[in-house]
Amino acid sequence: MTTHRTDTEEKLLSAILNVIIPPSEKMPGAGSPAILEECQRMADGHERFGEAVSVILLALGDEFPEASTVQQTEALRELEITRPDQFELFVEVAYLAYYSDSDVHRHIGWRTGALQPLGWELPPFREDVLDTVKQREPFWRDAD
Amino acid sequence: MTKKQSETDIIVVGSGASGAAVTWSLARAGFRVICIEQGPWVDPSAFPVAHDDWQYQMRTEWAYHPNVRRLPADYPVNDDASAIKLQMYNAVGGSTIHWTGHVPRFHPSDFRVKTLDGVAEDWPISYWDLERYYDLNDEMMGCSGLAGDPANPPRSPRQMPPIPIGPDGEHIGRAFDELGWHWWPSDVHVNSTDYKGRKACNLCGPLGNGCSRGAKASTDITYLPDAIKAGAQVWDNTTVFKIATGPDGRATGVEYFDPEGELGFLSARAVVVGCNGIGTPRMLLHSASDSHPDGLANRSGQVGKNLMFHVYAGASGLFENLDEPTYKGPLACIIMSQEFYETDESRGFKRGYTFQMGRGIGPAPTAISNVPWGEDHHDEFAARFGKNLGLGVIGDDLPEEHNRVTLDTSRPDRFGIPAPRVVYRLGDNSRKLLAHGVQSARKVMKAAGASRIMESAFSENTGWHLMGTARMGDDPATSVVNQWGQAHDTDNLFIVDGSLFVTAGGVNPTPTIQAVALRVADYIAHERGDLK
Ligand SMILES: Cc1cc2nc3c(=O)[nH]c(=O)nc-3n(C[C@H](O)[C@H](O)[C@H](O)COP(=O)(O)OP(=O)(O)OC[C@H]3O[C@@H](n4cnc5c(N)ncnc54)[C@H](O)[C@@H]3O)c2cc1C
Repeated sequence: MTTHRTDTEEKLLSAILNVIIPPSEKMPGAGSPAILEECQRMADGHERFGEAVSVILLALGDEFPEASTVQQTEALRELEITRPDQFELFVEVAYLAYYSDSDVHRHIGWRTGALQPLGWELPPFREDVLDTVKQREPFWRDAD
Repeated sequence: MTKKQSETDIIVVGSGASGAAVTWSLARAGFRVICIEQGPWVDPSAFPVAHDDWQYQMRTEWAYHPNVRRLPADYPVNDDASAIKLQMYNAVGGSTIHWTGHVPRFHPSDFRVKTLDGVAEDWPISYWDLERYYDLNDEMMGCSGLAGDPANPPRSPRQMPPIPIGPDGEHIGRAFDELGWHWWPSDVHVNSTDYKGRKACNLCGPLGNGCSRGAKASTDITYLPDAIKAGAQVWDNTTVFKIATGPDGRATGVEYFDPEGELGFLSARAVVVGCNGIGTPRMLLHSASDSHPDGLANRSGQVGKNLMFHVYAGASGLFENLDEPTYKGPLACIIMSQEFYETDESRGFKRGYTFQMGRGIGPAPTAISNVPWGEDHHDEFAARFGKNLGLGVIGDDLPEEHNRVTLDTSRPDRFGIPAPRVVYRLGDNSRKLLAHGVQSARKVMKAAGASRIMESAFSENTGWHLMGTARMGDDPATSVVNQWGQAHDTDNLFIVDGSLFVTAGGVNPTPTIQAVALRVADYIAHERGDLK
């Protein structure tokens, strides 16, 4: 189900996301257009995320985007205390959207896309790493 | 699901770790077996790891908690009053679809806790009764690992060498060496080489949400195909509503809802229940009848009581100078330590725990577990991503009667079966054990040179080991089933999942669940020809 959000709501959501993960010199903020869109898609795709986003949007007034960063942070800290479950879910979906973004992946050095079929490579197991522990006598308790 | 019929020799309810093993064993022994499973067969290409949005899928339709997933096969659970939250999967293969495949065995002492340590009860069976079934199960599931671990009794060669433990596993291993503490590469039901037509693991990471290569053993791709070849049927998308009993109290078959939602009845000579430590007491309590007014097989009043999980805590550390980022390789299934497994009274608690090493698995899971939001987010993420390693403490959990499963009629599933209501409080022994475990884990992280160490005193979302709620014993007044998994009250009803555990051990339970299940199946095959 797709939730249609008004421009004002989208602006509010973008502002909140940019406090959760702010833009930096190298990194986009979570409120940047592509991540905002992904966050909305994810919220629409799973009821508990959708609910959390709606609750948090409702709890913050339309003036939030114009407030100072300090005031915005304070407002979110308060919500974190008064609505802990919904706030935690909101942060979770924000993080999921942010760290699913290929641009973010490029910045953090993560190979984007599915984990399969590529997987990862590691050197094979070497038994000599056990040389020390192998010197130990068996120490399990025989019970019978 | 194959064609409907109305009668068979044996009905197995549940196709997870235990149910699938029994289905295979009994079909091979010539019984007509129908395994009934409420969930569907899962297409491996559907697993999150094969999709770009795997991180999101892992937290939504592939989440570990059934109330988060809310798939058609999931029944609601009420764990509001439980300090540990439930994790399970309902499909052909059961929770082995989700498990990570870490398969340490119980120790001989785990079966004799009363005799050795004066706590809980002894099992009516010993490690040695199970040894050959552990071996058979390893053969069927495929075990990567190495024999010769001094913390455990000798065991036969593993089918495959250990999964690569990586530079990070070696690094933590050296820290254990420095402290003079035990460690060993984990035994795992994940292929390190191709095995029985299944591919070798290519170390992608999560493990816990299905493996699209089939490298991780789950019973839908190990036991069940062979069981079907031996003549067993698997009725998927079919929910057992009740186990029916006759006036003599014996099981007569099951009432079930088929995939179209139609109620049916399948009669059988025996019913075997493998619905896990939550689903099984739920089923028994819901199957109350005139001959079993307090719930099926519940004359002792023990059904649903003595619920055990394992208690979890740990410490993690940040490492800047490893050769590879710590997200390369499986999340768990790396190395383990049993330095503190056996009881030592001087520690102030009974029984013990295993350390299990863990890695980070990707950017979103790294951020979600503990990176704060706000202005410090980027710095903190950069400090952790690809640099975090953890040591989980998995502690023995002593049985206590007040930790239990009952029925919550206010939350029925789509067929009207009440939800299980779970009450669980952390015991005093567990608290002391965990505190010791966290301090010991911290020492390992320090010895390994972690630049920062974080402690987790108790982990809540770890209810994946479900045990004790229909325990075995010799005395019908204090136990539900005998050493053969046979209900004391009903000679043709058998229980094969973790419900019948008497104690929990300090290790992951599934190889023990499967070994016990195979032993029960052997008993039926050899001693209960009347059920054919
Ligand atoms: C995330 C995760 C990680 C894990 N990692 C490990 C690990 O590394 N090592 C380890 O040893 N264990 C691990 N486990 C635990 C392991 O998966 C279980 O111990 C094991 O699967 C239990 O087997 P079982 O047969 O008792 O039940 P399950 O495998 O849970 O199977 C029970 C089946 O019964 C079916 N069922 C229930 N009720 C009905 C009904 N009314 N009608 C029809 N069917 C029904 C269910 O749908 C389910 O498929 C993990 C579990 C999870 C969730």
